[in-house]
Amino acid sequence: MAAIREVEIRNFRGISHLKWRPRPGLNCLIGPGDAGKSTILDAIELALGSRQSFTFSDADFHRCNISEPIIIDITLGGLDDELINLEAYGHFLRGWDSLTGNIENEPAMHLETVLTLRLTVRDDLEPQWLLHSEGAGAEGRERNLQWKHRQKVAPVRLGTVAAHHMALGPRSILGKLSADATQASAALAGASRQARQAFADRGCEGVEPILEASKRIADNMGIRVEEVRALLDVRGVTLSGGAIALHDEDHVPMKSLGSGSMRLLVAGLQKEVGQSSIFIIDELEFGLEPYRIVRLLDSLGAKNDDGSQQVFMTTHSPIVLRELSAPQLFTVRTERTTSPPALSFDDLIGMPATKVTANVIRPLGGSEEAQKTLRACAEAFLAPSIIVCEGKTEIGLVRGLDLWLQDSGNRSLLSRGCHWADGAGSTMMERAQIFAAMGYRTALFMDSDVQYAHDVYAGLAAAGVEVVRWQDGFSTETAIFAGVPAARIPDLLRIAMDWRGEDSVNARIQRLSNNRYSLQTCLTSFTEDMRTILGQGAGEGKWFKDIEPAERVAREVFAFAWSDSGAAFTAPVARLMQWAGAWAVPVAPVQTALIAG
Amino acid sequence: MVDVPQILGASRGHVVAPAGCGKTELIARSVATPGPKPTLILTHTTAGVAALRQRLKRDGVPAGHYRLNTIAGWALSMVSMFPERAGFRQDPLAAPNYAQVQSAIGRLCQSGNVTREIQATYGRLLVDEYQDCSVTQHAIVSGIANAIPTVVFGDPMQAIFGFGADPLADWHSDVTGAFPELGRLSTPWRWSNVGANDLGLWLLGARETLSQGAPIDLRTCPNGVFWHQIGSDTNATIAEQIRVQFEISRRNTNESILIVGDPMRAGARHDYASRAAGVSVVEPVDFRDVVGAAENMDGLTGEALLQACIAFLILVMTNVYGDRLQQRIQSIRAGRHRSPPNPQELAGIALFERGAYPQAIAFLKSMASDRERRIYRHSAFGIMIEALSMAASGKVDLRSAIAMLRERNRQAGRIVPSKAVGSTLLLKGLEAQHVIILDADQPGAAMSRQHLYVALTRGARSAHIFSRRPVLPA
Repeated sequence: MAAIREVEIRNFRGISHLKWRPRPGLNCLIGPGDAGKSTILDAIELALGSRQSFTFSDADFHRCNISEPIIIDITLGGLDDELINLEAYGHFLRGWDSLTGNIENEPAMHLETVLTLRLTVRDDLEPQWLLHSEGAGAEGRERNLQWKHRQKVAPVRLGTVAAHHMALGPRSILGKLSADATQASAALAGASRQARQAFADRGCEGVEPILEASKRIADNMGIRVEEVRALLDVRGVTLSGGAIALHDEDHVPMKSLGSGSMRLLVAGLQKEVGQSSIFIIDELEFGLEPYRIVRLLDSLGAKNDDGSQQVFMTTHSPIVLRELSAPQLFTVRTERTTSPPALSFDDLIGMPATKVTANVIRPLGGSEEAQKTLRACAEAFLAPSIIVCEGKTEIGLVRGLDLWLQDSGNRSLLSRGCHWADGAGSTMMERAQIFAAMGYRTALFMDSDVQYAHDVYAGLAAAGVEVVRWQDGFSTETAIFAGVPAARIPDLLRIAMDWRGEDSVNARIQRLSNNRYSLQTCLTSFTEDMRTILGQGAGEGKWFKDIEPAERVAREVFAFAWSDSGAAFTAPVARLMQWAGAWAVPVAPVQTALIAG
Repeated sequence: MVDVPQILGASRGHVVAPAGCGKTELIARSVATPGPKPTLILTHTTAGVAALRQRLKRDGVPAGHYRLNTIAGWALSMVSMFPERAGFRQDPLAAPNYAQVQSAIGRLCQSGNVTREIQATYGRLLVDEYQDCSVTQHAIVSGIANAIPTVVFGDPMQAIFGFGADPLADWHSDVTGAFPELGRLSTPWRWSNVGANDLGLWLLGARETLSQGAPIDLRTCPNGVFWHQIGSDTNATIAEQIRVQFEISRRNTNESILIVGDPMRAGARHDYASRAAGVSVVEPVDFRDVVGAAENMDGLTGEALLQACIAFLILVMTNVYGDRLQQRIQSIRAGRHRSPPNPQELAGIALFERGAYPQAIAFLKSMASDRERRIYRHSAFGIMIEALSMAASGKVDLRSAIAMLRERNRQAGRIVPSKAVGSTLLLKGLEAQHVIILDADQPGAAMSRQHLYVALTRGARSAHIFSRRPVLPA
């Protein structure tokens, strides 16, 4: 089955230049709104599609710059015999290296034979579809894909509106299915003839006086007419392909199905009987309940990627992401960099700084950890910035801080494009690197009780991961107890008691202090040397080792004592919040109602 | 015997096809069977392509069933598609370097780099006249054979081609090694169809004898093969040759005769044609001397063009008497003539007096219509008239016009008049009712057994051989 091996887009809408090698089966594109996901889907559809009537405008050019042509190159592999026929396409056949992704000018035994279709739009806005090859054989030749072959590779697109697929139109899946369109047109012509006949036979009530008057006037004017009859105007009942539509048993048109059901039906038709092996779906989750999302994904080969069809889809749904296997996921980003002002040595004229945009697609990859990350942190993939938290305690702290932000009338982390992800302990660094490699702005929020070698941190920094951690030797629990103001120690202990039980907390304090202290003494007569024991106890006793207690630590304790808290806790947290864009400077929380008991 | 299912069932093989035994028929019937993809049919000469195309058309084989080309032509189209993989780039505007093109495509086909593409395009390959296959061409064909089923047809006893630097593939080692024998054709259809079965069978026997290196006795087929002794009197021999030819024509009105003349000297064959009324010359596809004559005429007018026209006519016509004609033109123009000018002289004067191509055409045509003169190289004369007409229109110069026409003729194939003289090489592939071999054991240019076999098999009803001895080769 024909499949796209490479997509190269130049100067099309938000994309200045993009080169991407999709995989044979399902390709799911995610990324921020302006990243160009839909532009990529549009580019594929325009370059491969059999729709030649699309009207381009200046706005389709990147930055409306019409001096540079729009060029969309789609390189197709998996070609059947008709498409690698020497007589038809010999001069344009190219060779694609599946290992390196390189395209050579001519086929070879160790390469897959491919064809590149190029859509070019210049300032006259006239789209031109031609085969493209840089080989000498193609020089001076112009050839397009034959119409029947174009129909074969033309993708089916399932947009948010699927109603047109329910009729036999030129762009509908049903239209593609009806191989012999001439039979349909013969049937339609017959139907319109019958309609005219039926009308003529039955006549039309109340028309008689008009007919008589017409005849009389015609006679008076000397126009010879034998008989005047009222018939249906031929043009009025001409039926075209779009007039044939699917109906259910009650003759209700299937166009009135729910959009989700309709999309499911179209996807099923495409999978079962579609001629084209390339399928494009916008917003896969649109109109579907979670269980139907799963069914649709299943029919698209999310689980059983046999390569029988190549799917290009976008999504904003974590439910969709969880159903995917890691290699199926790609992020799309527009990255704007500014090249610094430079001095040209030739003429000693300063070159101004220039803005450069690059469109990048990055794969999640196929590692085991990538798959686990996708399952565990699906939501995170849908945000531009990600805080990978070492464990549940750190997640709880971040969530608590976020809730505190919202309590105090600030925008949430999510609204600032920041989501947290579970680092699941030992895999946190790998996960952070996976996110960073996909182009996410990534921070790693970890404790410092385990000392890593210097080059581990250096490696994370090189990967672009912002590491936020306590000072050396501090676990999160020790940092909490080191930083909290003495007056708030009882609040922390109460959370621990709620979570682990009074006895357990007390026993641990007694044991660690060799019975010098108890829970009671800590609550009532706190002394500074208790901080270490409490920090240690909180760690060992897992007092805050879950999202909820840690969330409460941030929201109910530190929220009300931020300015009094020690830097051991506040400095790293403030840095994290600044990184997330939530805090310009550490702010003192508004003291409102006290929630803590 | 070999039949169509055998051809279609073979993945590789060769069919030995003696002359006139239905090889073309077998190819046509193999192609007539519809398959999912067209059959590629390759042969060596454009004339061979034209002949096969006519045959397939006549048999009503749909054109979509086959792709017909010369090996060189196919190689040229491949090199235009894959110059990098072939390692050779042919400038499309320059004359093809066929030697390099073919060896490059031979390597390409052997490399396997285009195997998939060949499989996608063609169902099978049939190659005609494989005995004429050079080593380079054999590399191409056996390369294609790695991709698709391939059967080659030929007869080592008809191997009289020679590409000079590129030797022929050895039938017994190269060809048989790559394409094992599927069988041989053994029914002499060409002869039995016209009631000359005896001659057909005798020729099959002679082929066998010759292929074993033994000589044949030309006196052993009383009703089909006629031996005429060449004596010491050359003029008597020529007279006898012309008498034999006339006698055949007198007895068998409207039957065609091929005359096998001097293998090397075209002039000697032209001489024969100029003497024997009704005989035309079979021209080589490159029309070398005609092209030369046209190039000499290019851009001339007036007297110079007249002289060039006369020089050309001497090559293709009897009794030109150019000097006498030019003298007459001088005296007529000076008003010194007594007898009135004839049409040829008037046309000559028109050309002489600042005449250009239209006047040259009129002059040549006038000369051709003169009953005192006779054209014996009709195709040479015809192509020159056509070239002059094209040049007269002003769209192309004469040099390009003749080159274009030569190429067109190459593609279209030859129309051979009913009495034609040529060399064995030129007459190969042609057939007639009768054949006359003018000199089979010419000292220094005696016919090889292959030449002899090819020449003998040109006539379906009779073969007349002039030689010094009746047992050949000596």
